[in-house]
Amino acid sequence: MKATAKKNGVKVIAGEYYDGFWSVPGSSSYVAIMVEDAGGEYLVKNSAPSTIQMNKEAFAELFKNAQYWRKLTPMNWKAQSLRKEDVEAEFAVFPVHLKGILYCDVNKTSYFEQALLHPDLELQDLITELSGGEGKNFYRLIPVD
Amino acid sequence: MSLSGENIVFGYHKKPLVVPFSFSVESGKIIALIGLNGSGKTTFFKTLMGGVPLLSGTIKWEGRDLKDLSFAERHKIFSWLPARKVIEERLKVFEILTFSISSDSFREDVLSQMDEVIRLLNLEEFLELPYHLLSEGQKKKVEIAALLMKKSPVILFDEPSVFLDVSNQLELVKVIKNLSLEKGKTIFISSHNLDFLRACADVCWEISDTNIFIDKDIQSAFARYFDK
Amino acid sequence: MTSIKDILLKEKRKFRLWMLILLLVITVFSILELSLGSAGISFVEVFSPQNEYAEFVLREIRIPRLLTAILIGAALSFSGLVLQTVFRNPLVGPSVLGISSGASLGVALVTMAGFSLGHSDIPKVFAAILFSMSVLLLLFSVAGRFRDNASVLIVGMLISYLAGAVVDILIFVSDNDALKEYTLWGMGSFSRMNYGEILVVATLLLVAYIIVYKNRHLMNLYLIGELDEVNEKRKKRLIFLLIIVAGIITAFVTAFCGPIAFIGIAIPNLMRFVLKISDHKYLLPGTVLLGAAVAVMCDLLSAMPWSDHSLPVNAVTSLFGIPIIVFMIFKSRHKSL
Repeated sequence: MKATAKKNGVKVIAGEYYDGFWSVPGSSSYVAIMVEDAGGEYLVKNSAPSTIQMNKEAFAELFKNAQYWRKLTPMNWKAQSLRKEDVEAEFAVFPVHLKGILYCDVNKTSYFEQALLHPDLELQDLITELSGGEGKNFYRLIPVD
Repeated sequence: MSLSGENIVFGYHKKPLVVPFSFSVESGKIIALIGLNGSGKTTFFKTLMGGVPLLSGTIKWEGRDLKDLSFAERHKIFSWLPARKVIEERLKVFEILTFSISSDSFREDVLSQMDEVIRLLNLEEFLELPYHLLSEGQKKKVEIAALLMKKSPVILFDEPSVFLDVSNQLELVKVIKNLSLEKGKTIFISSHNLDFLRACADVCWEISDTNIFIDKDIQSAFARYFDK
Repeated sequence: MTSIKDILLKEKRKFRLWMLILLLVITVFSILELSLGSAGISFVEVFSPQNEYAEFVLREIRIPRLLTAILIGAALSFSGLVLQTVFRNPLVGPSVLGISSGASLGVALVTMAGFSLGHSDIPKVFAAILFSMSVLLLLFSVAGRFRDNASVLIVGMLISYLAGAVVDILIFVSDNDALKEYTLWGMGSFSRMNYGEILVVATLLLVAYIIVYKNRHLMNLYLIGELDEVNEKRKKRLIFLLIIVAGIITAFVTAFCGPIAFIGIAIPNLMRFVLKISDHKYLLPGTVLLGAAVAVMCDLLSAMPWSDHSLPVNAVTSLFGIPIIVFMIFKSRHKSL
């Protein structure tokens, strides 16, 4: 049951920050395949199935091309929308083309319990949000302008 | 009559080590200090240095009461060489000498005085050697040289001859005699090495059961020492 | 015959030459650090960035990282030197007092026992400083009862093991994500500090350096045993001061950058080996500069500018530091080690 959306070439990056490092899923990871299936283009090209640690600069280099950033880390984020300056100030990344953050609050959603059983629900979210809509299941889209 | 004491008692707070005694010492004299272990020889040195407070009486240096002198001033008058000094092994000889002066830059006269001490103790060839490579005799000479850098008129030696072989002991006797004769230093030597003391000392003090016997004649002190 | 004046002049010249070399090395490494990286910003752009992105990379990533490396290298070597003097042992480093283990325990509690506030570093830094300072206080309340410094060392080590045990329990019960966060913290990084934090630690280091440098003669006297016996009080005061200063510096550095290994032990030894001298007048500035140079070099290697990956700084400093320590052990065949 592989549903693949039409390629739209929307550029997506994923990654979480830990004490000076960016933990970034590789290009054969679950997230990368999801993004590709949702029609997007995942920006990491290293054919790694697992997460790799990147330095800030290497991540910034990928990030400047990203239109969407898929982000998981649990945090109490109330923001409905962000400006690019805020993103830059908070995460020390430089958003050039960033349109939105695909944000999944793993404490408030049942992502870790449900997403593996229902990849279709996650894919649904990604397809909708990569075309600018609002996902219903796990991801919340925080627009950036 | 440079160093004198009047009715002094030294010791620790609850335990005086001697009954009150008085003394006066002329500069340039070498005083042998004998007594059993624990009789108070080292405590007397510590008292002079200001490390242990004097229990009663007064000690005067050139008429000034030591009580009125600051710690630093006292250390300008007295310097003490403990039996065993813990010197960092990797230090070079010249560092041990310069460290004891505590200065960043040395004036010409200080430098030439240092050279003089180095010549006096024949340390020229060891200056750039680390301390741990020296023999016991050389180490002792370095310690004495460091002591002399401070130019204090009174020197207190604690067991200077220990660990030294006969030839080193003889050399040390020469150095010590030289210090008193040529430099006019007043020198106290505490030791159990009677031969060594006989070779250098002019006067002998014996601490025995809280009594201090001060003998002009070193032989009679030794005789009494052996009687017991 | 050699006069003492000639020797002193020779040492001074040698010291100045080495300081010049070190300043040069730091400059070269700094320029390399600023101009190398995956963002492909050219050497020329370092001095006049061509676009906003290049400016961002320099301002937010490369310059703080360079300043952090210089600062942390200097700070750890400084506190390593101070502690090696205090304990008269060249194999002592900032980690021996249990201070960094205290910091680790603080961070472990924050990350793994659920006191974390998401993305922010502040709780971690705060906990690390709080716990390492408590270790220092504990050390002193115990140390006052002992006459010799070796007991302080032993108590410090025991505190380390104790903290390690608690951390192990936390690791055992924590979830993957927290474990990862703690592990990455422990690997150390120079990319964590912002300008404000750099300024705080730099000010602290400057004050600490001035305090210790003012006591350089006393430290020298301590090395030749002049403070023993009669100057017991002065010696205790000096040692207390030095341990407090080194402890505070280590606490702050560990809080911000994680436990960076071996710089603190290796650099003072390397400096003594290079200068062949123990005078704190020379060792203090020399060690600080050498520490800065080596830290920048280690950071350059760890960042691996030719690839997207980066190595943990701690791995690089260990690979660099341990051979030096092994070399020192073999070199000092004599009993003084």
